[in-house]
Amino acid sequence: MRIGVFICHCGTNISGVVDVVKLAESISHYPGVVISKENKYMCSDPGQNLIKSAVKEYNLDRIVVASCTPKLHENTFRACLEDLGLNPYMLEIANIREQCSWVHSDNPELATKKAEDLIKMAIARVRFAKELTCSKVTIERRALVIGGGVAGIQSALDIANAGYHVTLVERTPSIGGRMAQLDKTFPTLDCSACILTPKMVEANRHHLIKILTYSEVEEVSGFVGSFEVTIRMKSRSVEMKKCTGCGMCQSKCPVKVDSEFDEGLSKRRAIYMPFPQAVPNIPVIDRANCRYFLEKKCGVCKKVCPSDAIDYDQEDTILKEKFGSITIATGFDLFDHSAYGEYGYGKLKNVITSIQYERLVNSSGPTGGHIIRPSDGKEAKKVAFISCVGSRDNKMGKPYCSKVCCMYTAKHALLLKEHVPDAEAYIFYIDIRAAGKNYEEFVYRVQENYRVKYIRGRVSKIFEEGDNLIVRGFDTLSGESIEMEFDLVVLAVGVIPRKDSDSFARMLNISLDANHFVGELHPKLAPVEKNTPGIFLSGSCQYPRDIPESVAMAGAAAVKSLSLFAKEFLTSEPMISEVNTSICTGCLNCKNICPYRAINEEEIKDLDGKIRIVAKVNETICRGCGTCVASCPSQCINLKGVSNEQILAAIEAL
Amino acid sequence: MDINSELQKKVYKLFEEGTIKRFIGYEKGSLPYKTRPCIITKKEDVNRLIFDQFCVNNLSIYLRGDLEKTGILANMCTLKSIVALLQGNQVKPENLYILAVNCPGMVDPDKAELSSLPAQTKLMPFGYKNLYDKCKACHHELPKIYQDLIGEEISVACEPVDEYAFIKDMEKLTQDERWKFWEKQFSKCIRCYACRNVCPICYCKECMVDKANPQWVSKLNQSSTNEYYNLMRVIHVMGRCTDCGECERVCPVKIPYRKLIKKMEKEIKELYGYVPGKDPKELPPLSTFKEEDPEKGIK
Ligand SMILES: Cc1cc2nc3c(=O)[nH]c(=O)nc-3n(C[C@H](O)[C@H](O)[C@H](O)COP(=O)(O)OP(=O)(O)OC[C@H]3O[C@@H](n4cnc5c(N)ncnc54)[C@H](O)[C@@H]3O)c2cc1C
Ligand code: SF4
Ligand code: SF4
Ligand code: SF4
Ligand code: SF4
Repeated sequence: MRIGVFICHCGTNISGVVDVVKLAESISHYPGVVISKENKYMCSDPGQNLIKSAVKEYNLDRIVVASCTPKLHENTFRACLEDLGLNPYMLEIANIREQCSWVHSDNPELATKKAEDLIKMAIARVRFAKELTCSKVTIERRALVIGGGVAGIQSALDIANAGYHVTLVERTPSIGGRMAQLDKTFPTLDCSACILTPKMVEANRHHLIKILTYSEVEEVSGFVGSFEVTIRMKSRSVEMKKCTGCGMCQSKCPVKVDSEFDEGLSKRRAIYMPFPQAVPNIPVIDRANCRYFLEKKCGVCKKVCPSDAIDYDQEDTILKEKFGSITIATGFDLFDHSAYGEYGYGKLKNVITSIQYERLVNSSGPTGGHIIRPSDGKEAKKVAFISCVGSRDNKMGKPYCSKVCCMYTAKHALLLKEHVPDAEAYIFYIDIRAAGKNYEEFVYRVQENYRVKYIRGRVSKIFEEGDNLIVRGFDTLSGESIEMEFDLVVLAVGVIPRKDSDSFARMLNISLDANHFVGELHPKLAPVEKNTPGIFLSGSCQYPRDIPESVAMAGAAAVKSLSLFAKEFLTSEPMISEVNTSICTGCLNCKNICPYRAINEEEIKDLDGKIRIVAKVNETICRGCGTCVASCPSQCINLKGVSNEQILAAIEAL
Repeated sequence: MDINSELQKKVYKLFEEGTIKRFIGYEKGSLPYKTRPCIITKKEDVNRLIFDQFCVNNLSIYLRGDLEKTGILANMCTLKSIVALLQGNQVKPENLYILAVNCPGMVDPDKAELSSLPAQTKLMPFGYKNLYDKCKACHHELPKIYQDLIGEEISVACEPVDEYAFIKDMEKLTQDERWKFWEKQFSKCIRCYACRNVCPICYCKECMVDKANPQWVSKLNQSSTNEYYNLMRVIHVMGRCTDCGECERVCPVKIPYRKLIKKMEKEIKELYGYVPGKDPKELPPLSTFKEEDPEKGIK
């Protein structure tokens, strides 16, 4: 065993407190230590060259570097060892900066003593270091995208355009998501459908994209490079191959229920396509409302269908497929404003939500683009828009800003003025957040050119008086209470996580953030990655996102899949846990406790020929967190590179 | 019918029907107040089986290894241990036939006047005051994992005891006083490992004390390593130990293990609301990972 110890001054960061020169001298006498040197900056080229020449000169086989935290330069020094033809894991770092000089600057003498102890422990650990290698894992070069909103569609297109197969799973009967419901889009005011439908069609026609609508992912197992996924395609009761999308069925169906797409402002039939440009252009039977399924009567759709496509006996189809990566693009839900007493608990007829308003102003919407009041169908002439409904409100458990509401509210007011030029628009707001390209200019235009009145303050009460609504509040700029009469009130309801996000996360074994959005790996440096390798985030499932951001994230997420697929194979992290099966009792404590579900049971044959169950660590999933090591009552799991042996040796060295 | 005939009849039938190939129970020992575990493998031997208030051994430790159609007589303590063994995948339920017995509590030889015992001892001759402490606190609610049940239902005739009373007394001591107490106790330890060997939860193939590479605990019999061994063992079984009391019973130098074990049990109960030995489907809190764990450690 020939150990070399290299001690870093880190400028004066370390040597200003710790007597590095003296330390190098005393360490050089340790058993097994062949050479001990110090240098101004070990991470610099001269520092690394010092290691390189010493390894060659003294034929060293193990290295200890005493420097800053291993988080910073462990990889630098590992690479240095690799260059020398040594196994990169024959290295130990003693952190004598963060854990010593920085925190003990008041006592240089004791700090030097502690630095020595830290180095002694690292020497003890490196004695038991073993050569570690990565193993290779093949990659299934197919991507799964969950959620067919604009973000999911974009991710699917980007991956498919690079030449890989994509399966896009959408829960509702059509792809399109929230954007399909929108009228015009801020800040450019181009029509939402006009820019979205070409993408929907492109995705539908792409030979590498398989779109599964009315479908849901039910089970996910496996790991990056090879996820095993179970998808349930709910039965449409319509044979997709036969249906031509003529729409006869939906015109003749006698059942009428509230349209989800029109947010309850119109009715749809029991057999329906959510909107005319739906992709695929094939209806589904909503069995919960269909008379045939409820009462075994009717059957009109089957009678009128010219292609004989209706199949009442169709069953759900279960698909089991393998994917190399999973992109989550499940989008968002909207806050239910009935939680607010001041806004009438959702009971006031002429108080509507922003998304209902999108449908009202839409010329292909339920009113043909007429902004009318739900109570009496009269055109709205004076409209109040209230922002931050279910956003930035700790009382409602929604401390965050929904980000898109300020902008779409400005857009809504503008559209009111365009549709009804003599109408008056008032926006009640807390702040105006318009930080996006051309966003501030857009708001300015709304205020100046369209004369929309912005009132800063919270609304304390809305109530009905006769046909109209009275809005009571406080103008914090003028310091006066206000009370105004309106025809219609539009609430800018906040963006919230999908209501099923908890169970969804459990199924994928991923974590959510404090607000229950799908949390990212790193808020700055890995915003589209999950802590589970091979799972990526696209669009507003991660946090409220507008369309440009959703599309940008979609591309970023796609690139992550692509760079995975571009690899010949995956290498597994070598510092992972390993079970000593000869003493494993098969209690599976470790399996139950592993946060990444990396452990499974395995049957082995004992020396005496008996079959027994032991734990087995999946090398690709294990992240080396060490939880299992601590949980094993028999101490038969070891974390490679941080083995029990090494830890005990380090303690012993103290 | 007296309990012994009921027991023997049932086991006889089990052999006859081929339900079991062996049966783990108790037989009379050399003294009237002694019984010993026995394993019988043929129906002709069932008349050896007995159950009285001296059947104190926890039979679950005989369930280790490859079982083939085994029947077992299980009182409360044995049953709770079986639950723990099931949780730790140490027995296959399909190979197990559990004949539960309503247990009136076992006699603590330290409490009872055993020398004056009549030669033919009947079940239940002993009053409540002669029972083991653990039995005095028994709630008699058998975990429902058994196939059959014998013995009369026990009505808890005694005044309820606070099972943590002695722990609460210990908690009143200062840290120093408690340490002194345990130091003294552990200094008695002779490292015979009887506590480990009798413990149904200590089912490791190779115990930490026997490991050489790395060596976790020195094999030297000296105060500091004895402390280390004893504390380590108790921590290893924490959250899984069902307080069968065997370790304390078999200890030749009378280290009061239950004082440690009950403290651990109490902590687990207060922290996680979990009591071991109830439901084999439940996972011990220290062997699970929950996303919604209040502790933010790993996320
Ligand atoms: C009233 C309003 C007005 C807006 N106006 C504008 C605007 O003018 N300009 C702008 O840039 N942005 C606007 N936005 C924001 C815009 O709607 C979002 O940026 C965009 O919809 C985000 O797309 P997405 O794909 O991330 O999510 P979504 O559009 O929500 O799509 C998610 C899709 O995933 C599906 N899904 C969910 N869960 C599952 C599951 N478990 N399995 C399968 N499928 C699932 C859903 O059915 C849905 O189709 C507005 C938002 C609102 C509420
Ligand atoms: S916890 Fe230890 S003994 Fe139990 S299965 Fe896992 S490795 Fe084996
Ligand atoms: S080290 Fe962590 S990730 Fe790896 S198997 Fe153990 S608990 Fe699971
Ligand atoms: S530690 Fe003692 S009381 Fe607990 S299960 Fe083992 S032998 Fe029984
Ligand atoms: S003391 Fe610990 S290591 Fe030893 S047998 Fe018991 S649980 Fe296993």
